[in-house]
This record gives sequence, structure tokens and C-alpha cells, in this order.
Amino acid sequence: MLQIPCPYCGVRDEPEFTFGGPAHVTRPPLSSSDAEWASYLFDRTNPKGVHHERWLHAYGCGRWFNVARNTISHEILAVYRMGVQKPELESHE
Amino acid sequence: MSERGPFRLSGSGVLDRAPPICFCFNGRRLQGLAGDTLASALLANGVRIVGRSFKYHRPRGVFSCGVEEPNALVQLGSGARTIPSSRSTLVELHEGLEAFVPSGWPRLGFDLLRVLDFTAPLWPAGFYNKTFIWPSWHAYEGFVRRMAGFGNAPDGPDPDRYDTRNVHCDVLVVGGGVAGLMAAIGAADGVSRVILVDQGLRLGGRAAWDGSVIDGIPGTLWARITSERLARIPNVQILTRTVAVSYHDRNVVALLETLPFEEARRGAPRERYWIVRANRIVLAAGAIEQPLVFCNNDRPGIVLAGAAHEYLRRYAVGVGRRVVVATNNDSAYKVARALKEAGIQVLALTDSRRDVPQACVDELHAASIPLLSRSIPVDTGGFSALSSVAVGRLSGDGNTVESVRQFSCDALAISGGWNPSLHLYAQAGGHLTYSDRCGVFAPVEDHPVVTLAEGSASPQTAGPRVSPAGNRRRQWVDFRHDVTVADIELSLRENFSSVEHVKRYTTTGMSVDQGKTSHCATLDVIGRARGVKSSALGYTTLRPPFVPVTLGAIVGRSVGERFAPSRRLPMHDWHAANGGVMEDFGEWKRPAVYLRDGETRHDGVMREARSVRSAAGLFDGSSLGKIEVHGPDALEFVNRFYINNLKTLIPGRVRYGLMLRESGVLFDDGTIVLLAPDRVLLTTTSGNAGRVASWLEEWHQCEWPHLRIAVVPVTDQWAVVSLAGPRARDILSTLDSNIDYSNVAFPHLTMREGRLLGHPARVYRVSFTGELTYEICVPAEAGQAVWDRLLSAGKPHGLQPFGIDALMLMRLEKGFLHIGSDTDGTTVPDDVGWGKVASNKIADFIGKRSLMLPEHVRSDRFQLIGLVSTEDIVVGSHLRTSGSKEATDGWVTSAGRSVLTAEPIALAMLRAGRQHVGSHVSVHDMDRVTSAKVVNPPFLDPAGERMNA
Repeated sequence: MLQIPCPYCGVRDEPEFTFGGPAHVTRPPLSSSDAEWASYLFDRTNPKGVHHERWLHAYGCGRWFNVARNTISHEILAVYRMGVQKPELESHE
Repeated sequence: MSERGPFRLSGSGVLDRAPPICFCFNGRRLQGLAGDTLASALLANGVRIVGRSFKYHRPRGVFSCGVEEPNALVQLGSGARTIPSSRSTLVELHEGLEAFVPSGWPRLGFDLLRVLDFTAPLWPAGFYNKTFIWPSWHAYEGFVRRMAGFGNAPDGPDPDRYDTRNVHCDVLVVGGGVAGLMAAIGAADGVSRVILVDQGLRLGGRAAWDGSVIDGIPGTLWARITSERLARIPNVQILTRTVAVSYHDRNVVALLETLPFEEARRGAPRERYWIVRANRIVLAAGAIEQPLVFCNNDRPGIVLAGAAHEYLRRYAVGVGRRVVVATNNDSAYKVARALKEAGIQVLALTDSRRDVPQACVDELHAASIPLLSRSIPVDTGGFSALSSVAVGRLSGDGNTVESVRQFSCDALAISGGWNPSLHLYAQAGGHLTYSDRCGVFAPVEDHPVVTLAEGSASPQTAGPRVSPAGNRRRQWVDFRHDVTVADIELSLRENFSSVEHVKRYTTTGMSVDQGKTSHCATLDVIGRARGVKSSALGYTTLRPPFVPVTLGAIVGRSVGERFAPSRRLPMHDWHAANGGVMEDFGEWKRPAVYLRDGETRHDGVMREARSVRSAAGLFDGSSLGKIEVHGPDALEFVNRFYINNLKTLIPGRVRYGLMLRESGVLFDDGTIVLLAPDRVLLTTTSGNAGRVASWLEEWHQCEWPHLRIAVVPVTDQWAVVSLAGPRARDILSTLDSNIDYSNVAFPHLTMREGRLLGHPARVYRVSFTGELTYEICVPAEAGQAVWDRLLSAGKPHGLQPFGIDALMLMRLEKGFLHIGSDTDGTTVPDDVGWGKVASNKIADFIGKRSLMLPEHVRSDRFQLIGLVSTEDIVVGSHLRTSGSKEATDGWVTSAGRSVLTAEPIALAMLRAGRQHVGSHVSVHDMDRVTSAKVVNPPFLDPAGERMNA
């Protein structure tokens, strides 16, 4: 199981957390087209390498935050608070 | 040979000198010594046949001395505690142990099913894919399974206890032999947390019995001194009888500890499952000896050479009286000498290598044992057990055999090399390579976390392992699944040629021993047949667990009442004591009905519902989700979650709202009340209280952090007592309160705050039953007092408590939505008649944009309608409209009988349902077809006069 460094609580084991899907998904306005809205609902990338995602420290502080994780090695490359811009990271394949 | 068994030698190995232990094997009463395993005791007693092979029913004997045992698997004990497929090589003998082998008919020693062996060509690998097809496999399945003799499952719930432990450590050392002990000592600096695990009873591994000398002292002594020294270092934990079974992501290793039988009987757990997170893992798990492959290499009496050595030195058991030793490497030489020194006749040692190291030659010479180099067994004889071995000399190119010699013997000790146990390394991502030169695996690269202990033996160059001569249908590779060389070659001929396909086609390596003594030979055979180097073939994945793990150990204490946490209502004890049938509703224990003596459940439910409709009823609704949202932006925030326009909410007015997922699908329903301009009170369904609170938090933290709000769940803080029925007001008005309950002052769909019986109270007029209802919220600790007072005040009026079943029936009559029953993962507001409310709201809310997608505005969507019939309607029945070409036009979501008229009614999802109001549909419940009329709900009091009274 992963060890995830919660930005508020420090390193904890994976069962304390809930995975929240991809990060930086922008909610389109009401004026968006059907295709744009459907893409927001259903289209997701599936990268081999760095993935930016949301995690919730459900059995801890209850805060959401962002994680950059390598989907192959599960190495956690960065952890940053919700609302912070995506950090630039090299994708190691 | 003594009364301790015809094959027990003088001296006791390292066993305790203690009174003999009585045990029972297949009904035979036998004796062993303390410290024996079941296998060593059976061998000591001369029991040669300990199993029947699963396909051919060939007699099989003890083959190994450890976890890799493929033959001597027994059914231990009986009843609810019985364990099938127990390795008798690991079972500690205890007084009264009972073991039997569920194979062989009429009995193990005389098995008529051996006829399958004589008709073997009919049953090659995968025969069941080509036969037993007509009329169907199931006609044969039961019979075939019984013949396999794999064992019986326990016949009752497991009465034993299991514990789980979670620990962290700096270094986990797997294996307590010499290398493991040294690694642990090296890591134990007094500060670092070190855990050492070993599967045996005592540390020391082989050194504890094999007569080796370490640092100038006997291995036994060295092992004891070193273990004691280790145990004295602070922060060191030693676990014996513990196997590391699996490696998991990020350096988590699971251990299975088996407690001694007597301790488990005295109330200790039977097993402990340890979940260890280690910073570093050192593997010193040793190696497993591999067999040689030749004709009839599976007879009782054929054992691994290392096992023969261990039975001799550790258990003082001779595997036979006339032994031949066959090897392809150095390690068997000391075994031959040790057997000879113990008084056993060693007729010869064959080595498939052409060039035998001089040291080995000298060792044999000193023991006067004939050496046959460049030789390999080619066949064995003996109907029930081994009686002879034929040894042939390999030709120059190794492809044929010349000059065969016969030996009359009762045991054959074979060694095909030692394959290191690298499972944890491989599961951690390490890659293995198969060495053609040594015939075993080795790690390829260094792993950052899982390292091999120093001093772990490196593989030796070995000679050929597979005899080139004889009928390949009689050369066994996987004993457990009766897989022969011929089976592997058949798989290759049928083009299942990758190692993974060969494995699955033949099932080699797929049994409980998971290929521990067959993986290497399988690669050798594939390589030879395909004419490629075995090292180029790849290998099959080393899957966890290393040994079978009892499900109970993984589950630990989460059984029975502890399977899932349950939540109790504030008045739970009263419900349970007053006939409440407590059932699980999500996490909550709630009363389905309050049964009276002699009443059926149906009678009870109807009685309660009638009492509510005619007089009054009392319902514990405390599990209702309650969430407050505080802050200047509270109403703006909450408004983004519901399809209803909440901006027009007036303090004290209750709005019934629907909440959607972003996909437009109905998520929850509940009420919204404005307590103050900066305070909103939401209610949710009982099941979703937690989910909705999390949902609100998620959107606040991730999407709208600028809104100044705080989400405050208060579900557990408030007890909810629902008083429903025509007499509700009469009853409530007799209680001390500062709230005016009259209809003028307190109309339907409003909420009043005040005091009731001295307690703070929030009273809603909302109705799920369709009757005049006061939903009274008081602090949870006051719930019981309020409940009691209402009951006694209501008794003269005919007040009765009512449970969930009656509630659900009454709400069905009113056509009130039950999210999750009447809706599913596709239902949007318009499907249940709330489309206008959603489309009239101009402000954005979660799910709004989705409601405009083409899929959600189709006219042929499933819509919620009512059904009435003369016959009972069953939930889940499918519906067909007349003239329909579809497979189904919908299904019944809720059903029951009207409380006052007993007419069968239902709610259902019907394709374009609203267009079909007034017409009939056929209702299909399995083979039963009935008719129903489509109506608009509700079925009772459409004007809502009762609720609004």
C-alpha cells in the first residue's frame, strides 16, 4: 500500500485516504457545448507516467489535496494543496 | 529399531526425549515423539503410502521435509475445525491428532481407482476439454471431484479466533537460518527495530541439525548461542512458526504466524496475520531442492536428498533400509555419507555430471559408497512402493542412455539442485533469470529494498536433471496435479507453447504447492522439446501467498457482529425490548416492525399502518441525515446543490429538494430550512448522511473555496421522533411546550424552533406517511424521554409505535419517492416528475448542464408511474405495453397493498410512462403474467388533505 504525505498531517498509509480522480479538471460554464460538457463528465487521460490526481485524507484531517504520482512505479513525485497550480514535472516513462 | 517405530534410529536427532505421543492416521493408532511432524512420525512407523495422486491414483509417499511437500497432504481433524490439504511435513504432532487421507477407494492402501493409472493414455492433460462433454460437464463433475480426493471443507463456522497485527520496522529479515541470523545480528544495533521471522519452531535453519561446524563450534550450539544473543538486543522481535507469505506495494510484507495447537485450544488465536511495513527487507529464505525427472519418479520411497538428511539428523528417522542416492550436484554427497554412518545401506550414488569434484569423490570413497558418474536413474519398480531403481549411463551427448544397472532398494534420495526462494523479491518487482548451467533461478538486479542476505548460497553448476530415456507418459513433473513430461509435450504440440500457456494447459505448478518442486523441471522440459535454452523462455509469475493462508487469518476479528460497524438509534434499547424486529438498514439497526405475540410480520405491519391512518403512530427517525451549513454564503452555497430555487426560501419554510450528481442523476432527497440568513439546515436520507456531508465538503474545498461557509454534520446530535396520524396534534398539544402546533400558526412544510418538555426542539411539519405529521427533533440524549412521554400521552388516543415496513407501505400509497428503490443510476428529475422545477431554476446547480444533454430530453425515457391491479404485484417484475417490440418496457420498483383498501398497488418505471396513463400493461414475474393499469400516483388522498390538516 502506498504511503502518502498529507500536506497537513505528514506521511500516512494509503487506507487513511480516498482517491479522488484526476486533478485540475475545470468545470465548464453552462454555455459549453454538449461535447465539451460530456468530455468534462467522461473523458479522462490514462497516462503511463506522471498523473496529477486528488486525494482526500478521509480518516485524518478531512482535507483534499493534490498528488503527482507515477502510474507505473507509484512513486509520489509531488504533493501540493488544493487550488495550487500544477507543478512542472518530467514524465519518466 | 525400537518401539518408537520400525524406522526410528537410535539417538533422537534433536527431538525431546519425552513420553510417546499417540495419534491416528486413517484410523490406525500410531505413536510418535514430541517434536515430530506428522510426516516424520509416519515415516518412523514405516507408513509408506500417504496419498493417492489426484488423476491416476498412484500411491504416493512423503517426498520432502517442508513447505514444498506435494504428496503427503492430509485432512486434519474433523467437523468445523477440519483443515483440508494440510502438509504433514509441517504439522506438529500433538497428542490425539487425527489425520486422514480422503482419497483411495475402498481405502488408501488398496485403491481400485488405480485402474485410471492403467488407462493413463485416456487421461492426458486437458482431457476434460475433449471428453465429458455430452450431455454436459456437470453430469460428471461431482463424481470427478470426489475421485480427485482433494479434501473436505469444514462443516460449520470456524470456532477459532484469529488476530491481526500491524507493525512497522526498520529491517525485516525473512528466514532464521545462518544467513538470516547473521543479517539480523548485523542490523540490530539496539536502536533499529528489527524483526526476524522463521517458519520453524526454532531458529538456526539447517545448521541446527545438519552437523555442520560454524566458527569452530557445532552448528546446533552456534544456532542456540546466536539466537539467544539476538533476543537480548533491544528493539528486536523474533517470530517463529511464522511464514512471510506475500509482498505488497511499498514494502509491506504479510506474515502468517501459526500458534501451537495447545495454546489455540486454551483460547489463544489459532493464527496471527502480521502486516509489516519495513524500511528494508533482507531475504534469507533459503532454497527448495528440486527433483530429478525419470520414469516412475513418483513412487513412495523416493524422497528429496535434503529431506532424507533432515529426517535422519533431526528426527532420527531412516527413509529406508537400502538407499540409492541420485544427484546432479554436490549437495547429496554428505547425505549419502550421513545415511551410511547411521547404519543404513547406501548401495550407490549416481551423479549425472561427467566431472565430479574431487572432494565429492573422496567423501564417497571414505564412506565406501560406489560412485556412478555421468549416470541418472531411468526407471523404478515396485507396485505399492519403491522396490528397485534402474540407473543408466548417459551417452556422450546426453541424449541416450547406455548400460542400465538395477538396484534393489526401498528408498531413493534424489537431488536436482537447489532453487532459491525469491518470491518476495519477485513480488517487489525484481526480475529473475533461469540459469541453464545451474538449472535454478537467480535474481537479476539489485532491488532498492529487498536484498538477499550475505552468505546465501550461490547456485552451483549442475548436471542434467531430466532422463532422456523411457516412456515420457511415466515421467512426472508436477506430482500434485499428475502432470508428466508427455503432457507438457502435448501442450507444445497443440501450440500452447509459451510458459504461461503450458502452465495453464497442463496445470503444472497450479496446485497447492504452486510449483515449488516443478517450476525448474517444467522449464527444462519445454526448453528441450522446443530446442531452445530454458533461460530464454521466461518464467511464470511467483504469486502470493507463499503458503496457503486461512481466510480467517486475513479477516481477523471482523466476523459476526464485528463484520461491519453498526449504528444504533438513541431509542434502540426500547425498540429491541418492545417487540422491535431490528434489521440492518445500511449501517443502522432499525425496527422493521414491532411484533406482538402470535402475530405474523404482515399482520404487524398492517396493524401499525392502519393505526397511523386512523389514529396515530410514533416512529424513530433519528438516523435522518442532518447537516447545518454556517456562514455568510451559506444559502448561495447550498443553492448550488439542489434543483430547487432556494433563493426564495423564507425562514421557517421547509422546501423539499432533490440533489443531483454532476451527470444529472438523482443522488439524494431531503429538506432545506433557513434557520437564519447565515445558517441553513439540511436533511438527507439516512443512508446518505455521510455521503452528502462529504459531497458538500468536496465542492467547497476543491471548487468553491472562496465561499465563506462551514459544513457542520449534526446527524448524531439530534434524535428525531415522528408523530404521525389524525390525532397527532391532539396528542402533542398535551405536552409542555412553547410552540403553537395549530394549523394556522404551524402549517404543513414549515419548521418551528422552541422548547418541548424543557428540551430545545426543532419541529418540522413534513410527512412521509401522508398523514398529519410532526417530526420532532430534540437533543439525542433527550430522545428517550420525549419518546416515553409521547407514548403515554398518546395511549388514550390509540397511539402505537410503527417501524420501517409500515412507513414504506404508507409512503408507497402516497407515491413518495424512495431514492435508490424507485430511482437508479440513470434517473433524472424529469423521470420522476420534477423536470419543471429543475428547468425553471436559472441559477447553475450541480447536474444542471447535464439535464440539457440529448439523452436526458428524450421522450421515450423510463418514467415513474403508478400501477393498480387485482393481483399482487411483485417488485422487479418487468412490464410490457401492448404492441411493444422491446424486450422490456420497464420494471416495478416498489409494491404492496393499500393500507385501507388492501388493493395491490405499485410504483414502476415505464418507458414513456406518462403517455400510458390509463392503459394497461402486462406484468411479468418469472413465469407469472398478470395485468395492471397505469395510473398517476398517489393512490390515496391526492389533494393531501390529511397532511395539510
